[in-house]
Amino acid sequence: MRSRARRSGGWRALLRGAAAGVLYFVYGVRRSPELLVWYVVFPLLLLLGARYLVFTPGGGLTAGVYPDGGGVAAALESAGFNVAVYGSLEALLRDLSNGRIAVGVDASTSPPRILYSLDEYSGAALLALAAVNGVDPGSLLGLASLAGGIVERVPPGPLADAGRALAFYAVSLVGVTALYSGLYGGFTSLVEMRINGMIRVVAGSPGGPLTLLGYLLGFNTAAVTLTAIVLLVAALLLGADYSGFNPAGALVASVLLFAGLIAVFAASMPLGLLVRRAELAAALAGIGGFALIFATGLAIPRDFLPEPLRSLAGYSPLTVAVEKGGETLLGYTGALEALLGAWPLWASLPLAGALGVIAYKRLVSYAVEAE
Amino acid sequence: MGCLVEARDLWKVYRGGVEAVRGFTGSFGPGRTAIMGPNGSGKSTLLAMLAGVLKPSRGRVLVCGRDPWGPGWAEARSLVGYAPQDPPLPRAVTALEALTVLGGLMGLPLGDARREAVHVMEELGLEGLAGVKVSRLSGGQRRRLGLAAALMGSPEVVLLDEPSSGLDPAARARLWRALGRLASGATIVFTTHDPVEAEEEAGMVVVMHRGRPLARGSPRELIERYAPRPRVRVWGSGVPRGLKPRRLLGDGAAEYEVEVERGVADVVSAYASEGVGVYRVEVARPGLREVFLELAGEELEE
Ligand SMILES: Nc1ncnc2c1ncn2[C@@H]1O[C@H](COP(=O)(O)OP(=O)(O)OP(=O)(O)O)[C@@H](O)[C@H]1O
Ligand SMILES: [Mg+2]
Repeated sequence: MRSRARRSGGWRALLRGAAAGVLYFVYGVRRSPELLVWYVVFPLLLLLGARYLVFTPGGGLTAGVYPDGGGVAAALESAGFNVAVYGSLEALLRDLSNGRIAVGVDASTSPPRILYSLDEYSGAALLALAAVNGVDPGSLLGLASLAGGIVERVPPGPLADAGRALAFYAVSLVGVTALYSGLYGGFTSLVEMRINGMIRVVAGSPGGPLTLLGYLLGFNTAAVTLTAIVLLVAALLLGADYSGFNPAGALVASVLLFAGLIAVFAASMPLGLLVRRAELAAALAGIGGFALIFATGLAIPRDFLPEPLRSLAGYSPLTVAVEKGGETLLGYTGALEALLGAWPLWASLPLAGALGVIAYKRLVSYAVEAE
Repeated sequence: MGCLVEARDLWKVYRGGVEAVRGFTGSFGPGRTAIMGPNGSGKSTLLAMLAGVLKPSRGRVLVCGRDPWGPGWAEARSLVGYAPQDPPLPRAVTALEALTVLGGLMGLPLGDARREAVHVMEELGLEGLAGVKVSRLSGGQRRRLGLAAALMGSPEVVLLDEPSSGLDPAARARLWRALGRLASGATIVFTTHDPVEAEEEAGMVVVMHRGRPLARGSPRELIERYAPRPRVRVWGSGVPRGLKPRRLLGDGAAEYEVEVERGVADVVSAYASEGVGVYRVEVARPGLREVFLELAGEELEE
């Protein structure tokens, strides 16, 4: 008796499904504009927006002051600075090293410390020094009287430079796509497949439910891989600075992002049990994804988020994947260091995975039992 | 080639308590078996359980001796090609690509899957649709693609749920011809509401009623058992008093059930002796339609 197909064990069933999922994506992206929009156009638009709206030096000089040192802010304002007042020195230093403010004034010391990070703002720092001390920067004599003032340079962080920031942001956008992909290509697809009978048919195939799981993961992985390639190339063309790029870092970044995708995919799986209608599932994924890309610092860098969101986002698996992945990709940290630094991801993965597996099994058996 | 598909005291109770299949026992051997029965009698439910895509509430299925719900499930399922009434298809790709992906999901290596897809589409006369996106196919075209998916990889057991509903006559003919070539010797079980199709295409017929087999046999046997008498239809200017028509048809004809030997002559001579005009006489050989109406008639009139 001839079997219709080769028999498959667990891993082979999963991989076979994954191969079919990759194939479906490869075919689909050429046939269906909507897939192209999701996985290519949308991330590209975000990247372009970021390049031209966010990561370009803004007009006017901004000075940050901590704390609101009474006259200091007013003096800076009258010297022509836009002034931002900070509640903590830490936040001020962060924005300074990221290039969000040109000059920082730490007025908690006496005399106030004038801080700058990027070389092009050293002149602005002197201007701020003069303003804080009530000296007319136009008079030589006045400047000489500032000799004892404190001007310090703070080392710039990775986001300080526009080209560097763009390189990081491209990785973040891969994270954005991974998030949406994990939601839409996970529980949302399953809700739809439960309605149209696809779960039954695939779960009833020789590979069983593992084939279906592989199919979903293969599709998602192919989609996010395409997005990653498109984004990295586009970012390069837009002037992103990828110096420090190294293959080991790229590999680790891929592993981290894949793990992040799985975490989202698995953690959202229980929603598939609660929702019976495809439209509702899609709406949940859309709204949830939208909230998450902002709240977890994917669509806008985490450093730009207010506390306590900023700190909380530091535990979001996908955010961790993006940050550590970006750092090691661009050579800021070693591969091992990045992997270890992503501990919140590794800590949440087993939990998300267990939840996902339980929910997935229930979902399949609901579909297959229909009772 | 081909093998036995067995159902033993098979039950399906759906969510909400509907007992769709209630203790079905029976086996299907190589060749073609048609399952007939009124809407809701459990045909689709039975087929899905045999295919291993719907879990029985109770009872057992054996496909070539292997249980698709037991330890040998993977092997049992690899022997089956199944086309549901409303086949799920990947929609974002072309017909050929969708079949290739489905073949991959069913366990064919991807290279073989593509080759098989081309072959099966040709056999079913679908080659013209190969490059058309699934989401743009008509209902009948989509159904035919679902049938193609079930036939990929020459399965030993082919289970088709209403394969010909929604198909034009040429497409139907093409389907049966293709089945003859792609699945010759396989065990084919299909459901149908068309008695003529069952009579022409099936070697065996099972009539289901409320989740159980009510009758089974070859079309000939069933006809002999349940509707042995020819029917005579007479269109006349009235109905003779001496005759009791079985029923009066919509267009004024009276239908009589008559003895095989000499009934037709009796009916016509009754018209003649009472002077009732006769315009047309038709003698219908009884078929599965009559069997079906005989067996399930009460149900239909409810
Ligand atoms: N998923 C389901 N959940 C609940 N009840 C169901 C489900 N599917 C079918 N049923 C019920 O089970 C019974 C048998 O349905 P089934 O589809 O097997 O009938 P069928 O013989 O194929 O009918 P048809 O000729 O109309 O295709 C029906 O009463 C139907 O309402
Ligand atoms: Mg049916």
